[in-house]
Amino acid sequence: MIKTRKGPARLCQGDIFRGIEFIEYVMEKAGIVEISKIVFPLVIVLTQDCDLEQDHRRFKSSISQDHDKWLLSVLVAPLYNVEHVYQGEHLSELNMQMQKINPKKTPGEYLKDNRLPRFHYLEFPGNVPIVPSVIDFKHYFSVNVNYLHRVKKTKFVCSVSSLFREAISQRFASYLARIGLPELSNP
Amino acid sequence: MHDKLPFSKEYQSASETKAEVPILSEVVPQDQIKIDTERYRMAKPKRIIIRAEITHDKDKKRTRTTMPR
Repeated sequence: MIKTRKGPARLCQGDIFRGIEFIEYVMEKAGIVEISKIVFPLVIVLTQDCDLEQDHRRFKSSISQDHDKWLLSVLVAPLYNVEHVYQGEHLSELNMQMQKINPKKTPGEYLKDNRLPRFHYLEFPGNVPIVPSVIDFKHYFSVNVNYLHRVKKTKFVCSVSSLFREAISQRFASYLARIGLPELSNP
Repeated sequence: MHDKLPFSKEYQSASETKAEVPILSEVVPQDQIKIDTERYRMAKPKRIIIRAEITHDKDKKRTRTTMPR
């Protein structure tokens, strides 16, 4: 189980929001605009907390002469219900069938122990209304920083406390920095 | 500039939030968050596609946008 907190007023690494939209594309043809978006029930902020803290200073004072520390976007990753992940059904409404993970066998046990580099398993305390969830480090996207500020009041759920969010951050960075080697066939 | 895009009602409600930017002084206390836990237990990511005709005025006269070449 992880530890959560209410968090300060600014955006923080480890903040969890609900109902966050990811814009897939915006197209215009013959006067018709088409927008495709995915609404994620829950996402967690992955952007480094020091970057978020420095970005936040823009609201506090006008001392800075430039906008060097301002962020354009915030990196987030969706949280999926672990029961859906076991079934490979967590993206079924996007017409995607994912690999099944048997919770009673080694892959499922490894998932819950955070021994699979691709996934991060989270269990929340009883006062947080989130079921056991999984972050898939292959799935991440950016959200406009002003948009997150705007919806913080209505869509903020909780914030993962610092030690636990650093574990997530470190594992995410490690997964992203992995070296992909080609599969070589035997001669 | 286009005055208005006749987006769906859902999109309008999502975009017409009354919250001011930035919201810095308040964080929703944990015990005041009311989330339908059962709904979130079942919720999965959903794709929404919005199509809207670009109009310049209230008559919704169809117009083309000028695209840079």
